[in-house]
Amino acid sequence: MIVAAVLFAYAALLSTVAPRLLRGAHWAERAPRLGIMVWQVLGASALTAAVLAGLALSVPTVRVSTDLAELLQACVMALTAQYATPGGASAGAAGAVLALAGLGRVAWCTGEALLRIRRERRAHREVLDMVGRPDTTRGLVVLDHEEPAAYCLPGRHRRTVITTGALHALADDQLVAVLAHERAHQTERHDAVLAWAQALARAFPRVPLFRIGEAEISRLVEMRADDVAAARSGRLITAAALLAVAGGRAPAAAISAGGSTAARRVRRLIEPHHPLSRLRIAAGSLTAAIALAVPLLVVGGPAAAATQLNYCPDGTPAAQVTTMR
Amino acid sequence: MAQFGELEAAIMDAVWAAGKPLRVREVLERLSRNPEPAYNTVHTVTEILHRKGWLSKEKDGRAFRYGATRSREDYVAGLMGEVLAVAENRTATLARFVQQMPHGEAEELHRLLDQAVAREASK
Repeated sequence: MIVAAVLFAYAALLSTVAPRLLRGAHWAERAPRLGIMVWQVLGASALTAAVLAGLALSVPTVRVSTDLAELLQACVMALTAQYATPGGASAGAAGAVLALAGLGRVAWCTGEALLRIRRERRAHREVLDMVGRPDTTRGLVVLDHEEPAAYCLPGRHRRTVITTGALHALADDQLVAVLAHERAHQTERHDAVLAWAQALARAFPRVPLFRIGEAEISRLVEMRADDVAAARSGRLITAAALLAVAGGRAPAAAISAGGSTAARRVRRLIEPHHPLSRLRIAAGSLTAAIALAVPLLVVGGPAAAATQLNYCPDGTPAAQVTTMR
Repeated sequence: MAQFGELEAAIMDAVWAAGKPLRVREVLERLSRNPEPAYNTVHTVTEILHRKGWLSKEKDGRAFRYGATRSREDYVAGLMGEVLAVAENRTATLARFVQQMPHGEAEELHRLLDQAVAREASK
């Protein structure tokens, strides 16, 4: 019971307080890859804690033994003991329902999101292959459209697409930066990162951690790709490429008060660059690892302690098995 | 079907370039492909395009004429609509290089960028 309560509290804390502390954190912009990882770890950790809490309610801790028959018997004894009391039974049922419902919802939403994404990409690709002009030397598909835009269609049959408007707006070295940016998305599988974040946000739309996490991850993924492009082409050239494609045609009303993400990305490339030191990145990674380990330790601790205890009352079959030896 | 992909695109190019419905024979004449595909292949792929809704088919004497149901620009506009819609509704279907920004914001950033480039040059 205590284990379940601790895990629930931990999951609730991660889901509500952590995203408010982390949202728009400055260090994440200085080390976007670490930022993406931290958001992912928090999501995974909160999910694990909630599911384990449910399981901890429904499965009592049993004495671990090297003898399989004995262990099974002990499990049965402990389970019957818990479910003999009405409170224990209802708590167990609620816990099992919670764990299964949580896992089921994540699985359903992930599957649904993946299928939908695959279908939409396929439909887009079929039209693209018919109307785009392949530029095999640069590995591009060119669309005849005056609006400057560049995008990639990820997946097994990936395409990097650019409009004639963008080709006119970009100088050669800026185009190299754009292509490096798109390639970074592909090699680091940012599409999978985004799909997972999106599936979690859809599965639990009211949980701030997943809602804010999705927005933050999609922002950080772009900054990460900008950094890769900047390492190749230079920060100012990458900033100029962003400006050339972003233009200045969006209606001002569509942009949130803090300025657009596009503008934040350009500013970040223009301002002096101070990447996070290795020591701090290591410290951040360690914190993330601890956050991931906490739910497992909370469950694993009592389970390990239980190996030293005999949970079955004396005179029960399990105890008799032991005494008969 | 995948091996027909390029031929499908080439046939659509020919029909769009002609700007009017074509017979299969005329399509074949306008395909500048090496080696030249067989009449039957072009006929089959044209029928596939008709079934997929890319080409309309009308009787002309003893043969059929195939015309584009929508212009190339229409399809491109449709794709661009999907790309530009990414702003409001993140779908992870495609990754856009950068969203559009409003005029004032872009102007200020251009000024900042020019200053930074000048600073870099004077170093």
